Amino acid sequence: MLEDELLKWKLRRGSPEALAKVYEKYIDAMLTLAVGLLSNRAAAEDVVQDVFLSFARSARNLRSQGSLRSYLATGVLNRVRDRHRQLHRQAVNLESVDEPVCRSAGPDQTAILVEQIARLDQAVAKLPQEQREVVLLRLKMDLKFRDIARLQQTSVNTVLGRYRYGLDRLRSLLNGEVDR
Amino acid sequence: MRSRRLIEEAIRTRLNSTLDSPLRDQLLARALREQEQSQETQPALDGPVIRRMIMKNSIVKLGIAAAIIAVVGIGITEFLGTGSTSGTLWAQVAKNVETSSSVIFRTRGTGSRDPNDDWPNGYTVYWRTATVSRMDKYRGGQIHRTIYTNLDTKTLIGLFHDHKMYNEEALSDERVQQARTGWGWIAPQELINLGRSLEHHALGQKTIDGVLCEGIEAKGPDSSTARLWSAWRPATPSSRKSRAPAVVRAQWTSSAGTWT
Repeated sequence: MLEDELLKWKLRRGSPEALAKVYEKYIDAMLTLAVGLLSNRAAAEDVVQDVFLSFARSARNLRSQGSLRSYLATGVLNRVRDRHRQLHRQAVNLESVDEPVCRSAGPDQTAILVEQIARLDQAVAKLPQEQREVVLLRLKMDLKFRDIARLQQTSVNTVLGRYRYGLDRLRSLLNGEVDR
Repeated sequence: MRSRRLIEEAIRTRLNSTLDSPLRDQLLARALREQEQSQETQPALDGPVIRRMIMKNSIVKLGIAAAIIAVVGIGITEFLGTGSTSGTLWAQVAKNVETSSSVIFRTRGTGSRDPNDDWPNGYTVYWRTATVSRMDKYRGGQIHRTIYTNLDTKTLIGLFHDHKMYNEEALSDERVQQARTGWGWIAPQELINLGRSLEHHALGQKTIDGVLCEGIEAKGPDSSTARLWSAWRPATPSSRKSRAPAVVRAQWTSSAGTWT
């Protein structure tokens, strides 16, 4: 948080180093969120590109008092929603769900993990959009439920319900496929 | 069926996407270009956001100028205390302001383009000479940022009082030049010239914050008005022998807001 404060302060003064630091710090997290929300790697890359270019243009006038992570995640979320509106909420094609990347597994575990992660990714893609947003914003972006509620323009209780139903549905879909 | 905790952990740790190198580098380069291009049309270092607005028309220029002159008086009243004063003619005030070599002022407004970070509750106090500036930003009555800029040494130091940390950075020649240009528009001499360039008439005398001031009202082509209340006195005993800031206060009203 302190680092973000310093970065915001530098960004308002036009520091390219600060922009590069923000980019390196958050680009993968935002791409992960976009992929999770869209289930389409190419579309997700377009979204994060839009988000960071817009951020670069407006960084000098940045007035957010929250975390940069939350600020950028909001940008991703809004663009994903725009895209959904444009596409009239096309049905998820599980065949098109990109294979996720696992960066922490050893060579002998990779094959198993990739399969498990693919199932996890597909299961997340099957969640209703509101539940998917809550689950990903909470677990991947570390946003607080009240912040998610503000983004979804609903009550905290509704968000908590969506989170609970989302996880229950994931449990049902995975049915034992997620193992450590 | 696995527990919710395991699923949460799996999503946290195993769902990760990474932007591939070529695209990663290209996007960063493009973002940096966008940032650079956007700055070519942005105000200079530390310049209030309202700077761009003053270019629109003459009365807005005076309005903003009035706001800045106003804070000269507020700043001195608040930080240097009040002393004995006497009513003076506007012309004398103007003359004295023109010979001032430094300014102390506070910016705060109710317009939508308030230059402070924390509108509408925050305000900023400036101490400024031709090459050195100190800017204190207040939030909720407490100071939370101090920014020192020295154009001679080309350095900028920021103190984050609320986080108990600071940052120091070197200023490029370009940013120094931007700062010199940006500071110029709030120079007292320029403000006085701006006021004189518009149609104005005398309002008489009025006591503001214990200081007896002379007033003028200027009118712009868009029917906006700017009222300037001014007085003159040395800011400190020691400054009687040197050039000292002027004490001026003003109120400006237009569709963009009110400054006092």
